[in-house]
Amino acid sequence: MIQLRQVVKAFDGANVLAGVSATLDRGKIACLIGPSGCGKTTLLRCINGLEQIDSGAIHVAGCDISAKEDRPTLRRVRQEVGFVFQEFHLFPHLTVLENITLAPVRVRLLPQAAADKRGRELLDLVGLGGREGARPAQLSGGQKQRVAIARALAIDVKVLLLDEPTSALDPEMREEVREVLRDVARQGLTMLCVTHDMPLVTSLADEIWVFDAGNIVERRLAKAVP
Amino acid sequence: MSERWLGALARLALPALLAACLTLAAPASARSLAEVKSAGTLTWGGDLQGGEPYVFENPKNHAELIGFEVEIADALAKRLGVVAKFSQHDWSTLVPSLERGDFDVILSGLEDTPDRRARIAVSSPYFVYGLTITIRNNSGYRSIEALKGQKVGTLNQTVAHSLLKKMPLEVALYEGQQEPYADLVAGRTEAVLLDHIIAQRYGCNVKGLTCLPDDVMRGTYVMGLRKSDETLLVALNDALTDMQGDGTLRSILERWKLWDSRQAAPALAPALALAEDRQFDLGQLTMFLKGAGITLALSVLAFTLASPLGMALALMRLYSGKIGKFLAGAYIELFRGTPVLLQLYVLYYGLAPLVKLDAFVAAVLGLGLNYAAYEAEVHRGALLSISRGQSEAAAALGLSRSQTIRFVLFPQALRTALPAVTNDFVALLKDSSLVSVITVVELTKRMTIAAVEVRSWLVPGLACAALYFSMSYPLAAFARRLERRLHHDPAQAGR
Repeated sequence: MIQLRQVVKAFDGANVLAGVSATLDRGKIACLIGPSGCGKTTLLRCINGLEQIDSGAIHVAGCDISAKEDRPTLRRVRQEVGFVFQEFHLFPHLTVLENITLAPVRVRLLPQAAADKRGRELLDLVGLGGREGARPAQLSGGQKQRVAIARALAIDVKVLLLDEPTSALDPEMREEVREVLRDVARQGLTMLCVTHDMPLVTSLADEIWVFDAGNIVERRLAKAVP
Repeated sequence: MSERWLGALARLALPALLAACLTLAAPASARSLAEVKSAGTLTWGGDLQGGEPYVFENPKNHAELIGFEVEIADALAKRLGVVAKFSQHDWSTLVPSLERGDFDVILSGLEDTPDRRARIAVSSPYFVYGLTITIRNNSGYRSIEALKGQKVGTLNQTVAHSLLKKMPLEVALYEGQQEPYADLVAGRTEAVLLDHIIAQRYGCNVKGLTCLPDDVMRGTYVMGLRKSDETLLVALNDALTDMQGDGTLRSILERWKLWDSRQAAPALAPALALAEDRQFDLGQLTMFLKGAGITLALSVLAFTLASPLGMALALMRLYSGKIGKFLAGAYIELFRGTPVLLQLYVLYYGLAPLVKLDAFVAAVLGLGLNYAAYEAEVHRGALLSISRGQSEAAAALGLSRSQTIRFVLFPQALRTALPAVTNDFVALLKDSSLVSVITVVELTKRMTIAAVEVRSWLVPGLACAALYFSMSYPLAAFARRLERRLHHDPAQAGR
């Protein structure tokens, strides 16, 4: 589902990704761990086209991302690959439900009623049924991140990329997000998750990719906890 | 923007406030002839803006003042055995400045009128003027009566204006001497009525215009003095009689090509009053409300133009291609970097040969186009203040750039911009007084007219301020409520 071949990305002449190669099969979950600033987040952002790679190739959900700028491909990629940010980035002027249905209605061109119905199901999935009318500012950090996860899932993505989904949260809120992610994992999604949160790694990962100095230095299988 | 309003305030309201204070202040102590003689100077007040041939800077030597009134002042001072000294004042503040004691005598094309005689002492006349009608060559109007129902231009606070007010016709009021004739050429008015000195210099020789030979009315220019300065008045009148007797006055006027058959006429009775002795009554109030209505309509329409145009410019400057960015930037810098007054002039007078815009339309366009530049920067700032994460989140969801702007960035920017936008609207409401230079009679202009009519700035000034406030305050309150309602963070909404 995700194939990385010799992916290179430099900022100001310094290689942040120094020829990363890896494969993640459909339905598998990999957690990417390693010291801060070693390029984990950059790799995630490259897979979804938020950063353009300098050389190499990325094959994700049937789309090929190369070093050339290619907007139509990028839009296709983004309909197949969801992204959950460390800082949530919910749209503050929209309600919880509107946050979730914006992309299905505007990008997938789903009728509003159908999008609303699916949105409510997703809110149930993340344990926020009944809060569809709330504004992001009225939610706690953990609730915001659960909405962000529902929003990413709403366009029926095949791959979910998560950038430290629990690290902006107070410790007591982390567990609720871990729980939601475990529920999401059961749906059979392919997931790549950058994290420092070891309980999340042990409960979620099929594979652990250890990252350092712009490359994967170790890949090992983890025993997923049911 | 507050600077612009300050400019307008200084131009319009400050003299008003000043005058209001002066009517309450005790008159300055008298300066007798003996004091003038011992000081060795006769200080006379005038306004350089009156220009040629009254008093103006010598084009060859800007430090030197020339003009027929300069020569009259010098000749008078010589006869008193002193030196004449000029004191610059805005024409409309000459009388209060005299009362304050800033100078000894007004010598500045001051018409002899009953209401001026009631307030200050006036000398014998030194010049006879005739009110002259100027028309377009091809028009058939041959008298003031024939202009019934037509639009006639003149300057504010002149005898010509008082005369026209009594006639069944529409008056267009101007601030400068050239503009009434420019509008006559453009066909916006059918005639101009002004002193023959002005008509001869700015109207009669303009291509396409003709002056009618007969004066509509004659009047005289006199010097103005404080009522208490009796000895000085007598001395000046004696000196003037002397100058008439020995031909000095005639030779001065001849040098300035002002001597004509009018000057041989005997002394005239004072012309009709500038101000009727009116109170600030219901009729005045109705006119004020009408002025306020025009101010409001003008501001709302101008802002209706400025707001979307400003948003479009902001989007262009941020998100369009190179050329679009350049054009939007150039528009903003041009309209922000030049005075709105100038823009109004260009729209109304400058473009008249190409498009003859109605004054109100030109006012809406001028203010709207100018404010669009300010709105553009407000909206650009608001768009830039939105965190990058918002556009990244939208992009990650597959939204195109235009969808991101439309559904994510723009709605948030509007909320951020709202306080500044409200602020700009209130500023526009007050800046709209500038359009009086292109003959739109809005609230501030109405106040200056009423102030002349009731001979006090106090009541009209207060009424004007009250009306502006009653328009801007509810708007500000409404905007605050809207802000609270729109604000996405309930914790911040109360602030």
